Order: sequence, then structure tokens, then C-alpha cells
Amino acid sequence: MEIERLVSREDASLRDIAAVIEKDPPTAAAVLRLANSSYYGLAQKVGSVTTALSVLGLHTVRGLVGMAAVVRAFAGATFTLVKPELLWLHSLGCAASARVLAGEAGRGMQEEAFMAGLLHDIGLIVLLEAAEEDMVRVKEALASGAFDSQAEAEREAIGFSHAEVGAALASRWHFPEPLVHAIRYHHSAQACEARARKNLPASVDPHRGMLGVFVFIADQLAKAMAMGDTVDPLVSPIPEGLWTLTGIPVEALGRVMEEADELYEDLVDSLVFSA
Amino acid sequence: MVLAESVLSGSGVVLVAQGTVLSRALIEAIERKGIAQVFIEEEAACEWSAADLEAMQASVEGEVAARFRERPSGALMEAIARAALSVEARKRLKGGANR
Repeated sequence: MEIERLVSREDASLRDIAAVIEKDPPTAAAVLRLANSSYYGLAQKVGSVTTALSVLGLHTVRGLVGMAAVVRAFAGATFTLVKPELLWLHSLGCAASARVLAGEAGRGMQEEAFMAGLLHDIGLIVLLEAAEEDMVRVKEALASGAFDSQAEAEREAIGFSHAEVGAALASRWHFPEPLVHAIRYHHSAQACEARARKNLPASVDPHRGMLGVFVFIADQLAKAMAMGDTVDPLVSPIPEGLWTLTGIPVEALGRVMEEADELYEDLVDSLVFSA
Repeated sequence: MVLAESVLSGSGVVLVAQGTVLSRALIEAIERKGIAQVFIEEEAACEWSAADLEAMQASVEGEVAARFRERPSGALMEAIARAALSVEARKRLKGGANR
């Protein structure tokens, strides 16, 4: 698609991108709704796509365009194992939780964390649409306790996991490598922690591996607060070592989760019910 | 306090605590229903007591515990379970739908 190609180009200007987005009403509407949501707290309403893009920034716009592509591709989704709208709410809950966690950790990467949360399950939509019978077996295997990890159950049933499918899609859309990594390993605490402890140079990963850490934890928090639904709605244990990397005291969790829930409710009102 | 649900269900009257900032969704719902008048309650009758919160937490405890693959153990997971319980109880007291 023209939008996806343009957004992924480093030299594309906001004006060029706005011109293309304006021709695509669903994406333009999503961009305007998000810029006008109380999440951004603007005093005045944003009416133009160009202004909305400057408010949101390129990271967020890339994520929205990616999400819009998935939604468009599966507008006629036939899967019933999970209601598509509840799956979307789970992603929104993970995005809100990841954003609040990143803010609390003082990492200055709230936007990237938000988008990583929003997109972490894009591969799941693909698997549900393409292999729902296998995914029914995956859900049953998880419910029976045969597997602790959804990714492992999917590899057994299908040969690869939704996280791997999502990462492949994200690579194809030229998403930044740290985002691709976060999508690929959002079910592997070990891989997230290993990357964060590697202390890669900022030129390789400006987020020092923390994107995956925030998404892994946010995924569990969203499940704990029953935000939406997914194939494996049960909360998995979060290793203490992974949590330590955030630098957030455990005592702050109550406030962090309340803030995440408030942001989630706010986003649901502005993004879903006004759609 | 009557929240957005009553508007959406068509009761025709909205009661909000004084000083409450109406959400855009609520304003749109008011406009959609053609409600001409909004009554403002004089006092914040919407506030619930600590005892109400405690009772609500007790009533949803099993439901929240069932969201965990394993019984939460250790300081971190226990804190998450406690926070989830508090969020759920407050949501129920506010009358918000669990979505």
C-alpha cells in the first residue's frame, strides 16, 4: 500500500504522509481521533491530518498505519475463537499499560511503548484467521495445563508462534528493529531480559532492550485487569529479575495499574465507541 | 450518581456530582438522546466508603484470582493481584462495565 511504503521511508516528510493519509478515510479518522483524545490533552481540537501527525509523531503514525492495514486486511474476519473487538481491546489495554510503565520508569519512550503494546498481537490475528482450528487446539491445550506458554503451544500445533508471525509482518513493514524484537519476544521473559542486560549501544537500540520488557509486563497487567480478551487470557508469572529492570518499586504497582486503567478507559471511549 | 449507563439506557435524566467534568462520550450521549436539562447533585453522593470498597473486593476476589495461571506468589505477583482486585472493585462501584 502507498501509505505503508511512504511511512516506512526515512526521507518522507509529514506533509507527504498527510497528503496520502487524507486519501484514506479510515486511517485519517483514526489519526484525528487519537490526536483529539484526552490521551494527548490538547486544549483545542485538531482538525487537520497534518497537525494531527505533528502531534502524534512518526512512531505513532507508523503503528497506526500498520494497525489500520491489519484491520483492513481482516475487516471480514471470520474467526470466532476470540471476538475480534475484544482482541483489539486487549491490545489497547497492553498499550495503555506499557505507556504508563515506560513513563513511571522515566525512560522517555512512552510513545514507542504504547505502539509496541498496540501491535504486539498482530500475528495472532493472522493465525486466528488462517488456522483457527489449530488455534482451538492451542486454547484447549493451554486450558488443560499442557503448556504454560501460548507460544510453545502454537509451535507444537502449527510450527511457529503468533509472536514470530507478528515479527515477520513488522519487519516487512520496516518497523524499527527494537519494535520487531519486542513483538517477537513478548512471550519470552528470558529473551527480553537477556536483551535488556546486553546493554546494546544506543545506535543499535536506543531503548536498550526495554521495549520488550515493558510489553511483556504490560501484556500480563492487561490480563490481570481483564482488559478485552485473548486466546490465553491467564496471567503468567513475571520474573522478579525482569521487573527489577524497570526500576519501578513494587509498592508503586497499585498506582501504576490504576493509571493504566484510567488511560485504557479513556482510550476506549475516544477510539472505540466514537468510531 | 447516575453515570453514562443511565443516559444510554434512556432514563432521560443525568445526575452528576458538582464539578464533574463530563466526558465527550457522555456529552455526545446527552446530545443524541436530546436531553435538555442536566441536574447537578449538590453533594458528592457518588463517593463510596472504605467498607463498600472492602465488601466489593471480597465479592470479586474469586473472579480476579481466576485470571492468574498460578496462585500469585512473591512480592511482585501478590502486588499485581492486589492492584487488579482494587481496580476491579472500584470499577464495579463506579458502575462501569467490565469490558
